[in-house]
Amino acid sequence: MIRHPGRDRYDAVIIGSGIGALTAAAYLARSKARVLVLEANSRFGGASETMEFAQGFRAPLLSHVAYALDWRAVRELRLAEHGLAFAQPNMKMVALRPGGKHIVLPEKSFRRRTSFAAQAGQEGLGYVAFHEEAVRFARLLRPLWDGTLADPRPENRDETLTTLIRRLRLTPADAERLESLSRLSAAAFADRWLENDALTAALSFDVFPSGLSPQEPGSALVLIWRYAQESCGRQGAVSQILGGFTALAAALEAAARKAGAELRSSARVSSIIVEKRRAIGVTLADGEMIPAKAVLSSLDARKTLLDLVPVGSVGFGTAASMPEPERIGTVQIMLALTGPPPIAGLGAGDLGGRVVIAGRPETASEAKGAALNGRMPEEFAIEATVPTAADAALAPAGCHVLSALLPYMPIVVAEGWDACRAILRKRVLATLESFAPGLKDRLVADCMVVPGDGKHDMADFRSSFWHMLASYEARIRTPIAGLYLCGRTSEPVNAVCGRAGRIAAGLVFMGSSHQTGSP
Amino acid sequence: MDRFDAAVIGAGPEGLVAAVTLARAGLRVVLLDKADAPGGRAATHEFHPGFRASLFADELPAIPHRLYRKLNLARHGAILSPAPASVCVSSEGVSLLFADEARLSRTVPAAALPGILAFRRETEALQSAIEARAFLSPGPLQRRWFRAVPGPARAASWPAGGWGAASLADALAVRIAEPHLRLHLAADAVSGRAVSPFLAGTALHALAPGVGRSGQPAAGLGRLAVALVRAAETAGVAIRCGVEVTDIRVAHGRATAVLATGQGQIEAAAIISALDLRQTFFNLVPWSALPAAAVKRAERFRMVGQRARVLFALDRPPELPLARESPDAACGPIHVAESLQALSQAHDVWRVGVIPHWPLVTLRVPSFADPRLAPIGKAVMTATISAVPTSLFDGNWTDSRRAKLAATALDAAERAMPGVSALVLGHQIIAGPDIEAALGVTDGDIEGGELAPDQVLGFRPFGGAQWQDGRTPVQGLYLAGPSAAAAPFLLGVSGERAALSVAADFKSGHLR
Repeated sequence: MIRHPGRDRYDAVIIGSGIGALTAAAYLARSKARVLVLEANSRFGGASETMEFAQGFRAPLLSHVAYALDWRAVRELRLAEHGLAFAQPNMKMVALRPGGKHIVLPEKSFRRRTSFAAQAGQEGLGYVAFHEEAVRFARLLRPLWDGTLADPRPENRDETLTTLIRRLRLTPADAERLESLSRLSAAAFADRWLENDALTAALSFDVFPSGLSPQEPGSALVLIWRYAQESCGRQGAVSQILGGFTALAAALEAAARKAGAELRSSARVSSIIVEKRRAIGVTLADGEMIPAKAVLSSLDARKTLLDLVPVGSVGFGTAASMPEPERIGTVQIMLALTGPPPIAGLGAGDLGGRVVIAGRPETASEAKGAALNGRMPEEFAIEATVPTAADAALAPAGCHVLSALLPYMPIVVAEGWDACRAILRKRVLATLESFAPGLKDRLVADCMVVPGDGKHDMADFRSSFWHMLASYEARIRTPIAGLYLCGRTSEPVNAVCGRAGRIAAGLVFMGSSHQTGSP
Repeated sequence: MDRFDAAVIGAGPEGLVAAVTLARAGLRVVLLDKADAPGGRAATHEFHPGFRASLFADELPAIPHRLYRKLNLARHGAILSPAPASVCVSSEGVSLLFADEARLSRTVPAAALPGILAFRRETEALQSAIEARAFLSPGPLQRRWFRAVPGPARAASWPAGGWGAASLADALAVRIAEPHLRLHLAADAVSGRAVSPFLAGTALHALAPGVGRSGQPAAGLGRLAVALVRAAETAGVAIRCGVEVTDIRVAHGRATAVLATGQGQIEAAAIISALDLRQTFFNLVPWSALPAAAVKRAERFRMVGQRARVLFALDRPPELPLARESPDAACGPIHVAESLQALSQAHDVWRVGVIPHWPLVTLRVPSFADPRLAPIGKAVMTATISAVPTSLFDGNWTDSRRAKLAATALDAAERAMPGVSALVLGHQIIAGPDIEAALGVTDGDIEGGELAPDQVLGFRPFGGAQWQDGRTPVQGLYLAGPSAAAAPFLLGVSGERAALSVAADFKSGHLR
């Protein structure tokens, strides 16, 4: 990229400072572009926050583990030099079952398979077959999900699958299986190999970042996406960052600053300036205009294209095809404990894993059904972590924090969240208590974050078959030239990865080199 | 002992079409049904002295025109005509959608018209694509569902991105802005089924709508059944009613005969079952005759009862307020629905075996189209209640529960047609267990399997080319019923396809 001395113009302006935005900023700055990051709040990092919810007790808000971190960005941006460290690079998964016969899936794929097969006998063999099939498909689809498949938008949506099959050079047999897979539900997919309902429920629980329930068609593909994150060893297996996503944001911020990016806080963007269907800059809330060759937004697609862009510049078709805002969200409950949670039948070493209480295979879908109708689910699936097991700095010495996520919760409850909060807290504590007798005695404080609290900066969105099978490029580009989306809505599912930021930076760079190349 | 070339089990529309096709190919065919009269899902019965109606459905998927001509159904008395309109009554008002574009444009707001037309055009294009593919024969269909077909259907290859896995609410939201019209079109799509329009994969229901697809017989389903029976008789099919098939004999991996009550063993080289997948595989064929994999897949095939019906005998025709201006509005379906949210709630409680409080109720007055269904001056009204579970979580279908169902139906009818409750002379309630008992369909699922993306077209009953033409793992046994590939979209096609497979296998020497 060429600098324009004397001309006060940025090559790229980035709206928001989430993980995607900071990744894009660091990459663009590294390639000598003049980058400005505009953050509306007083601190950088977007929605990632490590919250001190009780005196001396801290826990990462909402995203308590990283599901699909872009390891390429971590490596290429040398984030370790900027202070990024992992409490656990690979987390095991522990599925709790009433009665104490918990299922422990170790962290490494290979070990997971062999050790699990040994421990579970016949059922273990089914799991091995399931795992092999899932990983095989994950390998086939990985080019799509790590951004290496440069795929121009297919001419019409209807041909997504056929285009994809051609581009990935799938054999007819694989193509047929992909076709059937894309309309299966995760529970049905797991059920092909597994007889055990608890195991099916636990394995299909992992589809929750997509907003689909494990019994909805298309969710099998989300499961495959999860395996695609895992299939090459370390790449994006579930990990816990030392200090949470705040630490990742800080490392990215340091990397971006070092490379020469400018970051401005308390600068709320009020609109994107569009001229001749091209984004040429942004206007701040105080009226300042900042011209730029490219604008990247890490806000969600709906907010960017419907609120920030002048009315009429995206066209009616695009505006109408934006999905309705999601009606289900996530609830987090954080517990401050005077000792480790006394989960019956679980060794101290397993506390560092993700502890999943998935219930029956239908639990999650029933919860989603209730949430869609604005009711509080009777039963819910819980993903709990004990961040202090590997990151002792989050709590006073000897004390622990338990963070529990409840996906498939209503964003708006009929009775109002204030009325339901206490009931939900009681239910969650009772559920946890049933698996960890004596937990209540160790509880000193707790805090619950519900969708109405305004902590959910980024709108949740649901993934769809079409959204997942589109290429990164199709999700990042917008109908407006020079305007790119690099936030969570550009990822295949709703998870913080940073991958969209990296790929968006590449697209911006390519776009600008085309321009400067022509007279 | 009888011996035939082919035996067809189940004299519903699919079985009749299969029997006619085989008989015309020159085979000796026997058609067996446990009911006293042929017709199956389409038959008309007397439910109150002098009053008749189709017990289980007012509409079935449309019979394709090509098949209609081939079977000469016009000569046998089935005249097809689309429902002229559908009405939706909700708390937000009443809407009327005509099938005819010119009349439609006069009744809906101008702003909403393009959206509705676009929605119709897209679904119709996909339906014709499905129809075009259903007739690509012979050979496996599996791959072809996905390939572009030449001609006008080309643009609508399957699976279409927006239709393959989207939710019905999203599919409607991107085209139609008015919530009330969204509800109306959703009700047309899911009538008679338990569907939460917000869940992924439900857009599919707009392609296989519960009501409103063009090409229903003018005088009710019973007329279609009669015409098909006449076609079968003309073709020389031996129809035996009141005969229940209890077993399919399998020897050395080959189906050889059926055992029927009162008939003993009937030998046939080919056996076509027009029953659903579970009945065929689990009740008729000995388990040991099936490969384990096939049994496992059949177990996983989801079949669930989703509807109940209440039939009313009325003292005189009810009055629909809208029908004063457009008299034919009352000939089509009249939906009484609360909101999309209520559909989702109904689905939610249906899943756990509870009868919903505010289900979607679709009313019909079939005697408007065929006055002979009721004595002179009187009328028949049917109510199809969606999202009614067959097995209840808290016990059996007691009389009080049935009475409550009738009250729900009547409440809905009262909302759409004030004063109708005073006209009721008698009623009959048909819940899931009754459908199961009468038709022999698993769990009272009249549609032969839940409509979900993994259970339609190339994936019905199972994914895989070898299943597509009605063939099964047992040589000589063919599946033609509602669980077959094209059944939710088109009537008669799965019967015809199975029959064509039989004919082809005779020709190639696989059957003797």
